[in-house]
Amino acid sequence: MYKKLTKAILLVLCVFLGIFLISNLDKGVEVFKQDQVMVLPRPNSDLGVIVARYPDTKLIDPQHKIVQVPYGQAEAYQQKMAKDRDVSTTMLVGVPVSFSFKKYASELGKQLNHYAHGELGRLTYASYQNRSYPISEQLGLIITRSLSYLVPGVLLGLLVGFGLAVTAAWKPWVGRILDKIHALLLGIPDFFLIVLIQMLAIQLAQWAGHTVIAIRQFASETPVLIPMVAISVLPGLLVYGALRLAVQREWSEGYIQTAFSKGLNRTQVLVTHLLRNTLEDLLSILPRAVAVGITSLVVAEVMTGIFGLGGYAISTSLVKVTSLPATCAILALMALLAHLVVFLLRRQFVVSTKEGE
Amino acid sequence: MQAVRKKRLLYGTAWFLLLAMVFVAVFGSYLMPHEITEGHRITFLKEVVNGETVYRIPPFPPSDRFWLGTDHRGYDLLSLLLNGAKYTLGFALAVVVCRFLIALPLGLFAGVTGKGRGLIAGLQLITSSVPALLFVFPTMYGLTQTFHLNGGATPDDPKVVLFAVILFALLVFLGVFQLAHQFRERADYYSGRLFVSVARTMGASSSRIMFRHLLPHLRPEVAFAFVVEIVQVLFLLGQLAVVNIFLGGGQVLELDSSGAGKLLLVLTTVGEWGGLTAYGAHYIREYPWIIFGSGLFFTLSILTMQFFSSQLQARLSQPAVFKGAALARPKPRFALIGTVVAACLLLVLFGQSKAPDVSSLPAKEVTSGQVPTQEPSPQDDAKRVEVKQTAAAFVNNLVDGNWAYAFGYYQDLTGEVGTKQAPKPFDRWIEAFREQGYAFDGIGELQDTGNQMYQAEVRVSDKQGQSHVWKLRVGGPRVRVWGGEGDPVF
Repeated sequence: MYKKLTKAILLVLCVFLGIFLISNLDKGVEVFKQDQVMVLPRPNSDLGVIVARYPDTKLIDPQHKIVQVPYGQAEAYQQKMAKDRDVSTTMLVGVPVSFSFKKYASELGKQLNHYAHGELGRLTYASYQNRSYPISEQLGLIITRSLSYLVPGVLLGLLVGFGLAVTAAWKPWVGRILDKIHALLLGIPDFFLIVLIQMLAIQLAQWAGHTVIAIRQFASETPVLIPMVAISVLPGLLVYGALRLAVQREWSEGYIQTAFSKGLNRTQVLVTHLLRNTLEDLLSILPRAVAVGITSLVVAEVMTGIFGLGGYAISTSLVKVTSLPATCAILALMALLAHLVVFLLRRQFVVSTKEGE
Repeated sequence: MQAVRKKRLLYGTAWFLLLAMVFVAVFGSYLMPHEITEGHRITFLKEVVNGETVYRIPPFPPSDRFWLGTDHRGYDLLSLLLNGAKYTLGFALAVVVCRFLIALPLGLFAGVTGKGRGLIAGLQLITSSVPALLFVFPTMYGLTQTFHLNGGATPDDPKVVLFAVILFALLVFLGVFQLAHQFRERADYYSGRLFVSVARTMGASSSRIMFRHLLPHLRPEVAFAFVVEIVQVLFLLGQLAVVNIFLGGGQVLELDSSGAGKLLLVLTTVGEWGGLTAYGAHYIREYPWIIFGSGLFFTLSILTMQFFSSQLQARLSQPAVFKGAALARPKPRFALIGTVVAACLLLVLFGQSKAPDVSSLPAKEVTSGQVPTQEPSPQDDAKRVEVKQTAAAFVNNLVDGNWAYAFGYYQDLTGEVGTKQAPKPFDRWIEAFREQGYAFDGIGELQDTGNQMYQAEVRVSDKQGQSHVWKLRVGGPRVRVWGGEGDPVF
C-alpha cells in the first residue's frame, strides 16, 4: 500500500516537474544579451558617473556605451536606467537567436521564486497594455467556469459510451451500425467536430430566426451546451470502443457458455455477468477518457471564445499571458485526479484474482 | 468466397487511398487549380445583381471557380490546401519517423538486455498520463511571443525554422517513450522464446538478437503502430492549430475590430493546414468555408490512415485470406506501380508546379479586405506608427528649413549638435528642399533593424520629377531620429 502511494506521489511530482521544465523551454531562447544594456547619456552627461550610481553595474564598452548588469536583469535595468535624469535612452543588446541553458536555468529560478510568493502569472489586456494583472484574481472564476462543462461533459461521454456499448452488445444489429459510426467519428479531429456542431447551431438559428444554441461567449453569457457535447464525444468514443472489445472478449469465455446452457437469456447474461466483468476495462480507460476530455476542453473553449482555463490565452482581449504553465499544470492535476479516482474505485469494486492478495 | 473477395477489395482500396494521399502530398503543387502568389490574388469580383454591377471583395464563398472558396487575400483555398499538404503531412511523417528511429532500438534494447526498463516505464508514465497538448502549448505560445510570430514571418525566416525545430523536438520527445515502452514489452515477450535463447547460447550479440531475430517478428506491429502514430500526430497538429500554433509563419491580416482595437491574425503563405485552421477558427460564423476546408483535409487524411490501419490489421490477423490477393500478384501490382509512376512522370513533365517561392513571400504584407498596412503586432503597430510620424515630422521641418524644430526629434549622440546648425547629411537635405526644388513625397517602407530601431525610406523627387530615396535611422524607446543617409546631387 505504502509502496503504491509513494509511487503515485512520485509520479505526480514527476509530471509537474516535466510540465514545469517543458512548458518553460521558451524562456531559454535568447534574443538579447541577458547581462548587457546599451545606455546613451544625455548631452554633457558622463556615462561613467551614471553607471556609478547603480551598484551592480559596470561600464564595459565606453565606445559603444555598453553597461554590464547582473545576469538575467537586462530588461529590469533597461527600464530602471531609462528613468535616470541623465540618460537619454537605453536599449537591449541583440544577439542571434539561440538557446541558452544559462538563461533557461536563470528563468526557471525566477519562475520558482514567483510560485513561492504565490504568483502564478499575469495577464496583459489589449485595452490597457501598460499594466498586467495577476491571474490569481480570476482563477477561481475561470476554474469554476471550465468545470461547469468539463465534469458534465466527461460524465455524459462516459454514460453515453457505456449505454451504447451495452446496447450494441444487447442488439448486435445496432452494434454493427454503431461500430461504423464509431470508426467514422474517431477519424474526425475534435476541432472539426466542434466546427460541425457550431455550423449546425448557426443553421438552427437561421431556421428559428433567433439563437437556439449559443456558439460564442458574449459578455457573461457562456455557451455550455456546445463545449459540453464537444467534450463528451471523445471520452464517449473511447469508452464505447474499450467496452465493445471487452464484451467481445468476454462472449467467448467459458462461463458465458455455461450461463447460456443453464438457461439464461442474452439480457440476463449481459446484466449479471458481462457488465460486472467488463468493469475493469471501463476503469482502465477512464483516465485516458478524462485526458482526452481535457484536450477537448481546450479546443472547445478556443473555438467558442470562452474565457476558461484552457482557452483564455487565445482570447483576443489579451496581448500577453505568462500564466500558461500554471494553468496547464492545473489541467494536468485534473487529469491526474482521474487516476486517483480510478485507483479508489478499483479498490472498492474490482475483485482482485491475483494470488497472495 | 464473396467475403474473402470483399476483404481483398477493401484492402486494395485502403492501399489506393493511401497512395492517393501520398500523391496529393507530393504533387499537390502540380494539382493546384490557381496560383497562390502575389500576382494571382483575386482582389475583387464583378457581378451583375438585378441589373446592377456589384463588386465583391474576398473572401469568396465556394463556387464553380473556387471549389472551397478563398481567403481574405483572394487566394483559392483548395490550392492553398493542396500546396500545404506536403508541409503538414510531411511534418507529421517526419515526427513519426524520428520517434520510431529512437523508440524502436531503445525499446528493443531495453527488452533484450533489461537495461533502462525503469527509466522508459517512468518516462512513459509521465508523458502519457497528461495530454501532450498541455506540455506543448505553454512553451510554443511563449516562443510565438518571443519571436513575434504574430507579426508575420516568411517560412524560411530563422525564427520560424527554429520554432518548427523546437515543435518537432517536443513532439518527438513526448511520443518516443510510449512507443519505446510498447516495443520493450513486445521484445520482453519474444525474449522468452526458444529461438532467442538458442541465438543467445550460440553467442549472438544483443544487436543481432534485436535486429535479426526480433525485428522481423515485430514488423507487422511496427507497420500498424506507425500508421496509428501518424494519426495521433495529425490530431495533435489540429489541436495545436486551434491554439494558434502552426508551422511556416505567414502574412499578417489586420481586422477591423469595434472593440479594443485592431485584431491581427496570421495567414499562412504556403497553405499549411494548421495555419489555415488557426485563421479559419476566427471566422466560423462569417466565413465557415475557411475552417471547413482545412478541417476536411485533416479529416480525410486521418480517415484514410485509419481505414488503412484497420485494413492492415485485418490483413495481419488473417494472412491466409490475402494470400495471392490481387495486389500481391506480380502483374496487377506492376501495372499499378507502372501507372502511378507514369502519371507522376507525366505530371512533372507536362504539368506546372504552382508552388510559391518561399523566400519571395512577403511576411508583412497586410490586408483587411482592401486596406493594406504593415503592422506586425499590436505593440509593434503603435511603435511603427510613432516611428513613421516622427520621421515625417522631422523631414517636414527640414522642408521648412527649420532645423531648430527638427532638432526636437533628433537624438544628439555627441552632444555637439545644437539647434543652430544641422549636421550632415541634413544640412544638404535642407539645401535641397529650400534651394534646389526637391519635394518631399512621404515616408516609404520601414525596415526593422533590431533593438527597436528602424530604417525609414524618405521618398523625395528633384525638380525634374525624378524620384530618389534617402534613409533615416529612427527608433529607440523614445523614438528619435538617430541619423540619415542620402546625399542629394545638385
